[in-house]
Amino acid sequence: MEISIEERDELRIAKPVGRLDSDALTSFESQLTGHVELEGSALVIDFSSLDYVSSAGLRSILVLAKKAEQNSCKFCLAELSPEIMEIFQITGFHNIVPIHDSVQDAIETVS
Amino acid sequence: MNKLSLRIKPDISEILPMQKEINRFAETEGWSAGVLYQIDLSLDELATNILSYGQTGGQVDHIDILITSAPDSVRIEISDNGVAFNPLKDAPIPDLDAPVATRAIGGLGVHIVRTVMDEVHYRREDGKNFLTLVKQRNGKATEK
Repeated sequence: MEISIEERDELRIAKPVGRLDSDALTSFESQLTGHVELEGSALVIDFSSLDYVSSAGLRSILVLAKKAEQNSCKFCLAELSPEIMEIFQITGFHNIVPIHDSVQDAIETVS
Repeated sequence: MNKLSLRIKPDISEILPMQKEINRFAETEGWSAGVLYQIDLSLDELATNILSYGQTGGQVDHIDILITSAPDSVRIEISDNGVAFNPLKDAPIPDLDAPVATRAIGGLGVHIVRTVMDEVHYRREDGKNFLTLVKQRNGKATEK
């Protein structure tokens, strides 16, 4: 899976592209796990280039959220499409991870 | 009323080509983006489920999918020749309110399908599992 990662001091902004599904989850987790294991860091995932998330993708988000909590890393998501946002609401994931309308809002919250 | 019939091999790599085929059909049928997303996702979740229990419970040779598109609704039948398995009855209900630390990983696929579809039925017939889904094309199932 293609993920661009921007670094600003302790903050990382990750932008995955395409589909977050069974096929992508190993690559997604291996590229992002390191960023939620640094004490006091912050990770924002920009969803604007993701067009599909399945339950396998949600599982990866939960794995990252658990690691972030254990390591006191701030973790949030931004710019979910209406279809993807609905899946987060159905599964209660909107209560697990903070979700922001824009990447800018997300950055201000974690900074 | 138009039909699309697909047969996929029991492999995760078959899911994306299946969805591309469905997307082409959806375009000619004029499904909304929301209906298409929910159908793509439901088929992904159920096929992935069949593949994972097929691996532990015996051989699945292929999965057959029959989609019938009508002006007001879409009906989907998914069948496989694996061991008898009713995901609607046998899948655990996830605790959707658990906090991050104790939230169980997995078990969401069937819950998503049940919520986004208007009807989901299971039957065992002729040594096969049949799942029938119905999606109304107007309005969202999640608002009911």
